[in-house]
Amino acid sequence: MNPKAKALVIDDEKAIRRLLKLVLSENGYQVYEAEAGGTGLTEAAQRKPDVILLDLGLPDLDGQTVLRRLREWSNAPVLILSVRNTTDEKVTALNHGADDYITKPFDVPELLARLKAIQRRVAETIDQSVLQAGPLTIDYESRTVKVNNKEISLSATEYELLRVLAQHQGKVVTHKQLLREIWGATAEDRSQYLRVYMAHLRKKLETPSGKRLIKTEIGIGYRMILP
Amino acid sequence: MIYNEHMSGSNQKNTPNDTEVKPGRLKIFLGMCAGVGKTYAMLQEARRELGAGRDPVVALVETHGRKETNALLEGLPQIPRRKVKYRDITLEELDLDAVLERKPQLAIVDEAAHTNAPDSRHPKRYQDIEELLAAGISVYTTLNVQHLESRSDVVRQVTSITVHETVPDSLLEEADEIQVVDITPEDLQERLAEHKVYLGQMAEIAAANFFRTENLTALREMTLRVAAEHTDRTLRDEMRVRGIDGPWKAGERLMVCIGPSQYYEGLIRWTRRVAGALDCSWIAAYVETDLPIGKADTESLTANLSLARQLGAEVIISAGHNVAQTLLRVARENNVSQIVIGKTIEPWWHSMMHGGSLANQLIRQSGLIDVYVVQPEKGQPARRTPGRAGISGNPKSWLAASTITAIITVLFLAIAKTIGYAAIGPLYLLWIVIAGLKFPRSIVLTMAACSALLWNFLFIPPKYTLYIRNFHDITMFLMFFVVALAIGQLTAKLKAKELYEQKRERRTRALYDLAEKVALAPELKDGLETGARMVEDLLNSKIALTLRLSDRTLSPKPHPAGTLELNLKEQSVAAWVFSKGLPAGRFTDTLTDAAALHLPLLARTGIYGVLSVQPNGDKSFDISERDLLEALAGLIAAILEKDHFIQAFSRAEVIEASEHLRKALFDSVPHELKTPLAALKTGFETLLLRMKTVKADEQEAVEEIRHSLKRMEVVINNLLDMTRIQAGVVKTKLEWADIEDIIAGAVELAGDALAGHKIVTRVSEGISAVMIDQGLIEQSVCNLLINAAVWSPPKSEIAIQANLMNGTLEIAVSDQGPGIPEHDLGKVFDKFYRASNAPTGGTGLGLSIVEGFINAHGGTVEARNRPQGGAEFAINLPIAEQHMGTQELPS
Repeated sequence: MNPKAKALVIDDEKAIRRLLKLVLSENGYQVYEAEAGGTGLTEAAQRKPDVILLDLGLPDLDGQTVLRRLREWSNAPVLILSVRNTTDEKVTALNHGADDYITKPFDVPELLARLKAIQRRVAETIDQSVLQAGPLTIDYESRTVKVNNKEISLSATEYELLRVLAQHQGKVVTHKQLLREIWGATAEDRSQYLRVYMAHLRKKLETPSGKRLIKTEIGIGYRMILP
Repeated sequence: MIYNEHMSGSNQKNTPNDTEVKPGRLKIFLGMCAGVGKTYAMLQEARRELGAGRDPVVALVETHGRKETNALLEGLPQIPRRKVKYRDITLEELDLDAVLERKPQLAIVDEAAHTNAPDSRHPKRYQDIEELLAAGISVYTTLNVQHLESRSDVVRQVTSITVHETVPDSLLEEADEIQVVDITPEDLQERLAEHKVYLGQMAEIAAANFFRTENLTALREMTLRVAAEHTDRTLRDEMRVRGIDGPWKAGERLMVCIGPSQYYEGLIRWTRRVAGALDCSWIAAYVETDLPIGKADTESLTANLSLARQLGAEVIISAGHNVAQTLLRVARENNVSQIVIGKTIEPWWHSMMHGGSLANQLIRQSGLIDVYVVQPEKGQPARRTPGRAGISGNPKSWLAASTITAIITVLFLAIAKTIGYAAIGPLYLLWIVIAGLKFPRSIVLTMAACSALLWNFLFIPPKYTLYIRNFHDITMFLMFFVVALAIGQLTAKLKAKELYEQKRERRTRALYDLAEKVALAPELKDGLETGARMVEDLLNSKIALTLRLSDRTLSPKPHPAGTLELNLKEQSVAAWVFSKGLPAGRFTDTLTDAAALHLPLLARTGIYGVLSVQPNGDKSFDISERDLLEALAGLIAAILEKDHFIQAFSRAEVIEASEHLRKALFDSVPHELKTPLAALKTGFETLLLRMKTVKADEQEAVEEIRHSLKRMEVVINNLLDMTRIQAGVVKTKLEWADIEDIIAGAVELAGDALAGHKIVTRVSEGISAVMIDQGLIEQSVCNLLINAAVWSPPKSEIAIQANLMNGTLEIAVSDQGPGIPEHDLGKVFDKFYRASNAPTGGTGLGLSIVEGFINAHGGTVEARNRPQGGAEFAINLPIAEQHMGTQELPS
């Protein structure tokens, strides 16, 4: 990662902004701040940040509006940072182009992991021919999957599911996104397919420790968390 | 007042139950009479369809034991017939519901003209066929030309046999294909001689008479002509679709004027034939004048109107004083190009008095509209004489009138000497005038005649003879006679008019009262009760109102406002009415053996229920009462619609208010509570990160802070959840979810709180997916797990068990702790309740939140002690389950 990646924090809470600045610069980010939606958009246009942390409850513009306007001209990854924790808010934000979200109060290591995940480009992971993380090994070339060095057999669909989640590891992948990538745009509203295949895939990925590699984000999608 | 009797039909598209099913295709095998081989041809065709991979099903075929036909049936799937007990015999009928359920591509239904057994849904089989077509099932059927409604009178003229089982011509028009099954009369006679023709109940002689060559030739010609007309029409439709100019006459519209007599039946058929030939629509019009009509006439009028409807006419009933002017107004309003009326011979004075015969009046005033005067068959139309309803008088009135006449005659005898016989005449007249106001016409006229004779006999000299000597007296007597009769006639006419006016007034008042009392009632329930009582009194009947529920299905029980109780059969008729938006039951063409008339409550935005009316005794409803009923039904529907919108509006207001509250609860309060916590946590973690290493004695303090932060977060979340439960804003969002996913999610959510415990999950076989709010249930299970962990010794086992039984999902969490003291069992779910021996920490909210969430989900939660020790908490949820195999999925 570029050591001087630029991060923009749009949050009306001064304490949070300052603490985030501290944490982020500690972790190699050049940090810019904005305390409202309007100034946030101006900052985003001027600084061209590599990643944006956006609060939803802003004094002037609603965070969702800021996100929509931002997405008209910017592709920068956006992490939503909010106390609002309803599924609807999250789904709306993700549909409007947010890359992920984290609810306050958050764990700092988790925040950093999410930031890293959304900054990672799909292209980077595709270049790797083998993914090795924790108990999981995926060989993209031979399409083989190993758990704790034991090869497991997956159906074509299960493999695709695993591949898509692995390529977005650490980041939430919505039902819609998964369905589109695996079955095409016409299947977008059939989330029951996913449920069934996910149950199968999880059974096969089970490890003795019992920790699940794929987390369910209720009403939103799935997230693969690799150690 | 003009109303269109097809109103309910055209409203159909508004009913919520209207589904977009592509109607099935209808093919009719048409023959000139029995024995030409229609069934045989139809079955052959069905076998071809089976061979071509379609899905034909024999719904009903009469083989009459013919070997060749029976052989064709083999291998074709059949639906068993419905057995109907009627009096002492068992009839076999088409099992309509079975066919609808089986939903084949093609149903084979023999003999479209058949009349169904009395308790069937429709009186005629062709109506069954129409229902099948509407359900998207294609139908093959057979038909003899003599059964066509519009041809039945011609058949009668040709063969002198009256056909009772008829089908409307519209069935033929609906047909996508007609196949004529034709053999020569000679061949048919040959088959008859070989006994290959089933003659049914036709007696041999009648049959022999029927199958004469002349008859058969005529019927054959008729068959071919019907088929040719159909082809012609199809061709023209085709040309029209493709925009080819054709020979049809644009804008033709016929209107036949009908009245209450059997004479008009022929007139209606005639018009149907002409309209068919011209390929134009037609109207049957009836003018209600201010003279009421009698009971028998009402019945024949109703029959005529329903015949016209059956033959495809639009029926328009209009009221007016002058028949000709009213007819012309209706004609102009409906763009009629030709008016058809019956030829009537009226006495010359009648024409003189009424400005010419109806035909003359129409012709004089019709302008551009053509007028046909038709003599369709023998017979005379009933003249519009005042009906006999309420005019003939009952024996009591006769007795009263006679007694009064006798008494005044005695009185007159006593005073005749004093005032002279000449003055007696006018006194009698006075009595006639009074009688005219009080008694029906027949009595008044009789009394007038009696008085004249009595005057002559008892008073005019020479007394006690009917002979009158004096020329002067003769003039006086004749004048008396004429004046008395005229007075009788006039007063009777006035009275009839008054009766009619009263009836109209009653109708208007009823509608007004209903509108006022019901619509303005503060509570819908009171309003409906008042309304129901009014309708019951007004029509001397019992009614039941079955209303639509909020989920848009029909309530299983009628509204308590009506006094009519519906048995299962009536309920099913009401359900049918509700699903189709059409009237049914007694006095209609559908499900006629029901005891009550069922009318849909149709308003602009849909159907709001069913009004069922059962007259007391064997009374039937006349035209104006039916009209009144429909108007009342419309009004009730409008009132229900209004109430529906008021409720929807107030619901929206409540939602808006709770939305406001929700915003506060979800945005401001959490924001204020969580933001400082977030700052605290981030600050703490940042410090930790910067410190890199923590000394051993500092480690304890660090852990303490971490633990307190976590506890604070839990407390805030619990308080917020509790507030939402209390405010009633917990909304469930049902989605298909895997039960194992939920349990694993709950364990993950509980996180470190479960550290040191062994979690055992047992999900019984066969539960794949359940429709629940995954978030709420996951949080609930998580809270139960944390509770169990708090109470049980370290390293003990916590078990989660999920079972699905009888539509209830049970998720039970059991621990190996000390169990719950008996006196605490009832209190564990109380807010802020903490058991006396509870470890420190915890808000006493976890379990109340579980209860709140589960209740919001329509389920229950229960705490109990296990016999083998430890406590168990069980969540019970009503559930819709779904098993889904991967074979349904695209790969």
